[in-house]
This record gives sequence, C-alpha cells and structure tokens, in this order.
Amino acid sequence: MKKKITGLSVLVIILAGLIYSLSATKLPALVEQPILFNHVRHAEKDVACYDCHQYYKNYAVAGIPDTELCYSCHKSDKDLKEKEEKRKLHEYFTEKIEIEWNRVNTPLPDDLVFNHKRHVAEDIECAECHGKIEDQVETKQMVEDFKMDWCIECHQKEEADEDCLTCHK
Amino acid sequence: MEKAKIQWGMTIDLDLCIGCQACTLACKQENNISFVSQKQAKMGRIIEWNQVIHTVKGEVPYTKLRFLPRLCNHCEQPACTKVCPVGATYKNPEGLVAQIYTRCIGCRFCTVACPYTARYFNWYTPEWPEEMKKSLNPDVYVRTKGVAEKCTFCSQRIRAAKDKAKDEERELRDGDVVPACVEICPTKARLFGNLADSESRVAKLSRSPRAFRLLAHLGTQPKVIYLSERAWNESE
Amino acid sequence: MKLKRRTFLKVSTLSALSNFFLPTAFAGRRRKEKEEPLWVPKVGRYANTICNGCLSGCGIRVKRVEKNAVKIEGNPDFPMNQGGVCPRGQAALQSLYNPDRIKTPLKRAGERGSDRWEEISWDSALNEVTSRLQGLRQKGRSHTLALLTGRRGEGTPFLFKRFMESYGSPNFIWCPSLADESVIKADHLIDGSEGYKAYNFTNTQYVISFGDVLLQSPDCYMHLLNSFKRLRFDRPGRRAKLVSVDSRFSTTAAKADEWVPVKPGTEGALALGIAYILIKEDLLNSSFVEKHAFGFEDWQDDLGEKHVGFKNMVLNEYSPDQVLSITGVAPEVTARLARESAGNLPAVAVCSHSACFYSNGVYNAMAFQSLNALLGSINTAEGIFHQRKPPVTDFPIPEADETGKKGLAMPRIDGAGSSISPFTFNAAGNFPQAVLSQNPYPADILMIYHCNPVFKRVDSESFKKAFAKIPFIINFSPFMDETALYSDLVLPDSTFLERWESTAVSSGIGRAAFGIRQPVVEPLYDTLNTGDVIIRLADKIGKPVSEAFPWKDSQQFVKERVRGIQESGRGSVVSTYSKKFWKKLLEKGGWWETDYDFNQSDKKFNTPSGKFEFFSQTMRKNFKNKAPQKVNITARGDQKFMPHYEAPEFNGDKENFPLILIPFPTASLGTGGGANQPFLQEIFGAVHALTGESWVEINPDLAVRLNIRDKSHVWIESRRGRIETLVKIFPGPQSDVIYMPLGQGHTAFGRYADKRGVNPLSVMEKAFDPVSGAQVLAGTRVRIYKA
Repeated sequence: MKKKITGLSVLVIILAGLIYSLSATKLPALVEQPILFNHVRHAEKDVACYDCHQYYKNYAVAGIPDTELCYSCHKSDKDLKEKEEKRKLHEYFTEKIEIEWNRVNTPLPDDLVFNHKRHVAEDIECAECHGKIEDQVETKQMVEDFKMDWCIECHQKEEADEDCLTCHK
Repeated sequence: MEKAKIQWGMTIDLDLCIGCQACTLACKQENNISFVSQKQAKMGRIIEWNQVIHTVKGEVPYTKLRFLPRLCNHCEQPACTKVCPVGATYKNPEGLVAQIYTRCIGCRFCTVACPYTARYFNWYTPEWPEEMKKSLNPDVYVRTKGVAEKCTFCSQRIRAAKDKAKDEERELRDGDVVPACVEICPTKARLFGNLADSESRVAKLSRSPRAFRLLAHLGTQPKVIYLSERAWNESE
Repeated sequence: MKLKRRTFLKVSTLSALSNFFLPTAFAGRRRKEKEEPLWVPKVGRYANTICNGCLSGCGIRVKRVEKNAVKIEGNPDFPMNQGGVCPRGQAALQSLYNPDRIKTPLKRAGERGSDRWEEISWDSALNEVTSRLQGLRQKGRSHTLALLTGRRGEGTPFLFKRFMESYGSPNFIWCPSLADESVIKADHLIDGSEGYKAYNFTNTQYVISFGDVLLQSPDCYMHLLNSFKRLRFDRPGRRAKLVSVDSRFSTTAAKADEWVPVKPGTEGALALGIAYILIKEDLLNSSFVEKHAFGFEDWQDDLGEKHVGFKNMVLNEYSPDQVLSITGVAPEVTARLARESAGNLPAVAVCSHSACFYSNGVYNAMAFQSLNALLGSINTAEGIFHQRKPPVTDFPIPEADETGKKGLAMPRIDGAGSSISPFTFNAAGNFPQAVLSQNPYPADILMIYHCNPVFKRVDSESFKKAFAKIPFIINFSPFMDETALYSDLVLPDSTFLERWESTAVSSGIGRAAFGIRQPVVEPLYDTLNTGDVIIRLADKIGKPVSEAFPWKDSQQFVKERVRGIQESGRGSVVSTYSKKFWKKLLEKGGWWETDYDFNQSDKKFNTPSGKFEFFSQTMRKNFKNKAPQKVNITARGDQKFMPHYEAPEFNGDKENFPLILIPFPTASLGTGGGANQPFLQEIFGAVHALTGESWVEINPDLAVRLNIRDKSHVWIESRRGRIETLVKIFPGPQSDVIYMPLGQGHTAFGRYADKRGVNPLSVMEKAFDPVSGAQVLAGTRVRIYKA
C-alpha cells in the first residue's frame, strides 16, 4: 500500500511539473507597442510586407523598419502633428530615437536557425506562418504555443528537410 | 532505405601534417569553444574537438615523432549514438553524427562509448572575458554546462554552402563546403567532401594505397580517412 | 492570483523534480532567450589585411559580424601563405580582445617597475614628449635620443627610421629576439645581400636543412610550409629528399627523410665536411665556382700577398674524419650526404636561426651558403636568391639642419661599425654598457617599439640597469610587458587589426609583395597607431622634422607609398586611376608580382669583387679600417674572413656544469609574444602533454644517469642562477645537451602570460656573436638536479 502511494505521488509530481512547465511558456495574446501600429490601414493603402520588412527576401531575418523608414513615408502627411500616433513618430524622428518595438513572435532560441529567405524562395506565403496580418489591427503570434511540431508539420507536408541539423545549430 | 547522395567525409594527410595545431585553434575560434585555466588543463578539461595527438617513439638517432589530428570520425556505425538514452545524438542522412545540445541530458554515456575519445563534456559553463565575447561566432550555439559536444564537421558551414547553392540554383559542388580546420591548414593536409561521389577529391584519396582509418578493426567505419606513407600501427 | 510562499515552494519543487525525471521534455529551459530583436541581419563580411603575428606578414581575411571580428582566415591569393594561417595568426583575435590591453596613455606614478600609473590624455602625453624632444634638440643633443625596435623594414619602423634621421639621431637600434642579425650578416659578408633570403623549391630534389628551419622558420614560416608540400606531393613521380641536420630532434627532423644529429654548434663543420667531398670528388658546380666565385682557389692580392683559397682550406682541415671529431657524424654519412646532394640537383642547403644561436653563428651560416655555392644553388631560380622589394614610392628626406647634421655625424651609441663591433651595422648588446658608462655619450630619451629586452634577452639585467640611467623612457607597447613596466610614459599602440600600416614581404617568397594593413575593426580603446603618433610628433616638433612627414596620418602615408607601385604598371593590381587602384588594393589585401622570373643568369653580387666571396673582402676591409680592440674570434689569419669552423663557446666550467642548455622557439608562443593569448597557451606543450607549462627536454640516458623521473621537478642551474621546471624525457636531444622552450616565464604581460612556467633566458649568461653582435642564445653550461 505504502509503495503504491509513493509511486502514485511520484507520478502526480511528474504530471504537475509537466503541466506547469508547459503552461509557463504560454504567450500573452497581445503585445503592447510604443506606437499603435495598424497593419490593416497599411495593407489597405497597398503597402506590401516587403516595403517595410526589407530583409526577408535575401536574409535570414525579416527586419523591422527603423524610424527613418517610417518617417520617409509619413513626413508629408498633413495630419502628422495632429494624430496622436503620428505625432509620436514625429517625435521619435526629430529626437533621433529608434522606436522600441516589442517582439510579437516568440524569439528564436539561440541554438536554432531560421532562414526567411529559404522559405520565401520556396514560395511559402508570409501568411502561412504569420497568419493574415492584413486583417489584424494589432498583430499577434499565429500560434499560441510555438513548438517544434508546428514547424515539423509543415516540413512533412511540403516534403522539406526534416533532419535535426536543418534547424538546430 | 535508399542511401543519400551525400556522405560527408574528410581526408587528412599525415605525411603533410607538421603538428602546428592551427587546425585546433581554427576549430576553437569557429565553434565557440572556450579555454580553461591551467589548473583545469591539468585535469584534462581542455576541449579540443580537433586535437593533435603527438606520439614519440624510438631512440636517438632513430627517433620518431608523429602527429595525428584526431576529431570526430563521423562513423558509419557510431558507438556513441547507440548509447544515447534520449536520442540527442544520431546519425543524420548525410552521414554526420549530429548532436542536438538542447536534447542532451549530460549522462556522458557517449563520451565513454566513443573509442576515439572525440567527445567532450561541459563540466562548467564555458566562460570568456567580456571583451572576448565579441569574437564569438553567431552561427554556432554556445553550449551550456552539462552537455556533451564534439566536432560537427562545421555543420554551420555545410548549411551555409547549401543555402548558397540553392540561391544559385545548382547542386553542391566538390569544394563548396570547407570546414574551418581544412581552410586554415598551412600545408593543406586536409580535404573535405562527399565520399558518396566517387569523383570527389576525398573519395579518390580514400581509395589511395596510403589510406587507412583509425581503429578500423572496431567496425565503426570512420568517415575521416588518414593518409600515410609509413604503415600506421596504433599499438606503436 | 496571490502566490503564497508555500505554494510557490511546492510548485518550484515540483517543476524541479519533474525536470529531473523527464529531462528531455524540458530541455528548452536551458535556452537563453535573446533579449534584443534582430533588426538587421547578422551577416559575415570579410576584409583583407596583413597579419602581425611574426615577421612574415601573411595575408589574412577577417570575418566580421556587425562591428566585431569573429574569425581570421587566410587570404588564398597572398603569395606568402596562400590561404593557410598558423596558430599565431589564428589566435590574434585574442590579442585584439585581450582584457589586459592598455586602454589609454599612461604616465608613471610610482617607482619605475612598480606598475603604478596615472591615466592621461593623448594631448598631454604628446605635448610632454614634444617639449622634451624639442628641448633636447635645442641643447644640440639630438643624438642622445635612441630607439630600440623589434621590427625593421616597411611600415611603422620605416617611419621611425625617418623620424630618427630627420630629428638627428643615428641610434635606430634593431633588437631582434632570435639570431636574425647573424643570419643576415653572414649573407651580407659572403654575397653582399641585405636582408633575408628567398627560396624557390619548385624543382628542388634535395634539401639539407641545417637546424630547425624548414618547418619552424621565424621569418617565412608559411612559405616554407607550402614549399614542404610542394617538395613532397605536388610533383607526381618526384619526391625530394629532405635531410635535417640538427642537434635536436625538431619538427623538421620529425618530417625529414633522415635526421643527422650533430653536436650543438657544429652544423657548419658538417657543411664543410660535405664541401670536402664535393671538392675532392669533383662533384661541384665548376661553372659557378669559376665564373661567379671569388677566393675558391689560392689567390694573390694587389699587394702581392698570397692567400690560401677555400678549396685548399677545406681539403686541409675538413676531411670527413676530421669532421667526425668535431660533429660526431660518421664519415660515411658525411660522404653520402655530399654524393646524394650532388647526384640530385637542384640541391639546396637551408640555414636556420637555430643553427646561429651559438657564438659561431655567422661562420655557421657562411658555411651553409658556401655549400650552396658549390652546388650552384645561389642566385638561381632553383635555389636561394634575394628577396625582391616592391616598387614603392621613395621619399627623400629633406636636408637636415645644423643640429640634425651634427647629431647624425655622431657615432652610434651601440658602437656598431666602430672598433668595438667592427662588422656590424647594429649591436643592441652594446647598448646597456654604453648607457652605463656614458661612452660615447649618455642616452637622454629612449623610445621602445615592439621590443621586450627585459624578457627576451640574455642580457636583461644589463638592460634594466641601463634603463635606470636613462632620464626618460617611452614605450609603445599595447600590453604591459616586462619592459613597459620600466618606462615613464606608455603610448599604447593599436593592435594590428585596428590600424593602417604598409607592409612588405621581407623574406622567403622571392617575388616582391606589398601588403596593406587596414583597420578591420574600430579601435576598441583610446589607443593610437604608433605610425600616427610619429606623424603627429613630427608635426608638433616643427621644422625640419615636420618636413619629412608631409602626411596627415598613416593612412595617407600608405596611399602615397603605393603610388610607386601603381606607376610601375605591373603585378597583381593594375590601374591608371588612383582611386580605383587603392580600392582594388584594399580588396585584394595587397599587391604582388605575378610575372616573375627568378633566373638571375648574370648572377651579380653586391660584393667588392662582384662575385660570391668565399673570402669576404667586405669583412677584411672592415677589420683593417676599424682596428678592432678586441674581437673574440679564435681563427687566425685569412680564416677569419672565410667560412670555417669556429668552436662555439659555452660559458661555465665543464666539471661543475656538464650540460649545454639550448632554447628553442615554438610555433605557438614564438619567443614569448604569444603568451598572453589563452588559445596559444593551451596548445603550447601539447607535444609532451604539458599544456601551458615549461619543461626541459632531456635524453633518456641522461635521465637514467641522473636518476630523474619523467615529469618530475628539477632545478636547472648555471653560474647566473637557477630555475625550477618539469622534466620531459625525450629521445630528441643528445646526452650532453638539454633543451627548453622559449616564451614562458613572464613576470608581467597580463593574466594569461604572467607567472606561467619559467624563462630559460633568465639563467643564460651574457654573450654575443663577435661578428654580428647577435645575442648568443645557446652559450651556457648548466647542471640539473632534482628539486
């Protein structure tokens, strides 16, 4: 009887630990940003992903535009100094401060490599991984729980390389 | 299973090796391997994925001093992968014996199993002075305390070469992948390439009468092939 | 939710336990997550520059990610190294990112040597130096400025030389740590060359390496390693034979086809023994000897005096039997080496620094070269010839003013070329004595560049004493080394990865090659390229010094310097547009001759006779003119001026100190400059599994005789002092010789160098080569006993 109880409690401990560890990595749904950037509005004006995220076609990272790039489009806006969010941009630019965007997607752990260029070259649409950004006023990560099987699933479907070394450095 | 068309392998010409150890340092710099204090060094805790082993035999004037760069042999029949309880090390389709650090639990079975002692264990978190952290290679993961590590055949360079080949819409060519130790060698004693391609330089050299494999009788079928004019007797 | 302490403990224990039981499921916990987002791609970009690990000057490519240098690779096009890099070059990033770098100019704030400093600004440092230098000039004592430099030739040393000349001081004192002076001097006396030799082994069939040179050269390491490959493997069906003549079983001996051990310091005698057979059996290249050599046969000078030629001297004194008693080499072996080399032409004898470590260094080197002359391998495309120099712009120095002229007319403080050292152009060994005795005059200001005599010389004590007599010492070291400790002002140089400098290959490859050292990273600290310091100082001192430096900084100097190369219109980079030429130069990492012919069929020698001189008339002239007071040469008469065997001197009585101690440099630490790089410390001693330690190599027989166990502690004692180190029993040295590696035993130089191992030079007695003035590194007798 005593043995059973010990065995059972060990199991409970393991399970509890498992659940705790998994739940601990959950992400908040929305990330607060210094400027309320509106993807929908930009998409409506036919701004393409590539216009701002300028690296994803040729490099591993997609890149986030710097203040100068944002301002280069907005500088001739008539309501630049009136609308709250645009006014912020103007301030950032005049004070030469980079906007400190907060990360929406889970940062890639140090031991992994991910190459945007490779995926784009294989004609994977941005939306496949990022969801329909043009429909989101405020963006959030497409999957709540960013785990390896999410990548693997697609790699299997597309018959891409599934070897560990493809992504693990 | 159909055999992959790439089987990575290396040849090391011992007749050209002069034991300068440039390869050892190139490897350490490329792969973010730290150095240890003299006290730790005495305890045998230097990590050298590529270690030049010196053997001295004979008497004046018939002294023999030989140099043998020893690295992971990326065996066809690796002893280390079979003992890994968690599948952190395995043989990949291209013949690399890969090591997934985040999966490693630090049991050190593999370090014991490897007949070439090519595997190392991180007894401590690797450390660098703040200044030297600037020279770390961003393409290579900095290992933590408690994981085993070893030569990867510079898998980051293989990845980069494949990426480049894909960009140029072509197949990998012989000589596209150059690991750090091969690149640096002052006497160009090393070559790296695809053993499955019978026309590659390494495949040709592997058929040379000078070719031999380390501890071949164990049946590990190493993919690092040494070349030597003199017969190599390991018990020597 | 409020977290109670109890709940928190429960949960954390649970998760810790679960992690223990199920390690794989949570391996992710170890991942250190990146804090900053990736705004820009981290892409490796390469920049070409020139290495400064040793004197070779190899082309390297530095991989940069963002602002950081992360890897050094070889420049595959550069002729010296052709893509390879040695351990010293590979570890150079640890010099750049060394935590013990001097970060700002320092002014002494305590006793000399006390290592107490005050940080000062560059402006105030340069102002102080300027006012002192101006003051000295105003007093008409410009000649009392002296410079000790470890480097010479192109680059910053060139600027220094110019500075000294325009300022008005003859005291540019070259202070190398190995026996470079002897190697160069021997060649100068016998064939009139200036500087190191070049080797072309494309067709060579037979190589005799005297000393550890082929695979351990300090001045063209990478070129000779490439040559080694060529000799062995690049010519299908042909494989050159490599013979190593060395008293120690060195790396070269290990890779050679045959090792011929000789008694230390007798390598030259064996060369003459080989010459004997070549002459006796008429195996020599008679056309070269007849047409291009002087002093081979007996001859008569202008005054009618008769002289014995090289031929008869060798036939009289160096038969293989006579050589046996000197070298310990069996007569059959000597004869065989002679016949093999003559039967496998082109054959080359290569001379090393290590064969010149002895008091007879110059004569040894002369003997090797005379062997080359007999084999017809001097000044031919298939042997040894002069290293060519790149066609850089030459800038004539404007005429000196009265003060300057007066200063330059003074004798050199080190007595080079005077009656003390009649044959030398440079005699660092005399410097301390001259300072102490104030003869010919005192030294008022000393500048030290790239030079560490307190660590790297057998006469370190004398240097320390001399420093005490010098009112003001400036050191340009980027690290606080043993010598920098004794200075009043440290003006830290930028490391070679942070500065502009012109470089030229000075040895080995033959064809001219010019390299540009460019900053691959921004200077990390408030350091300044010494080249820029010189230009700024010249500007501050004013006329006439400033007129010799019309450039605003060292980058502009390099740009002007390459104009001559551009105008030559040949070589690896050609362009008529200056900007394009400069851009291409930086991209390629330098310029080198592409179309070259080493064949010098005219075989002109820059000697009094215009020929290769078995009897050095240059030496005889110097000897007669300078009326030497005391030159420690035992040979009498004409032999003084000819390659001969001069018994090497070993200080200490044989009774009490039965063993000869010989040091050797290693590929990792060199002579000690690499000791502050932890990677190099790790591979140092790997040959004996003695990482980062010092050791003494002794013969197994000797170990039995002295009852010493392997890796036990022993004392090495000479008349000068004793040091404790580990024993390595090694069938390398012979039974009356012991060997110790150079480079360890620092007492400063940063955390990775300090207090590691021992410095063999610290027990060596002061001695100099009587001809070249080089320090004798192998001239001390010692005894060894258990600690």
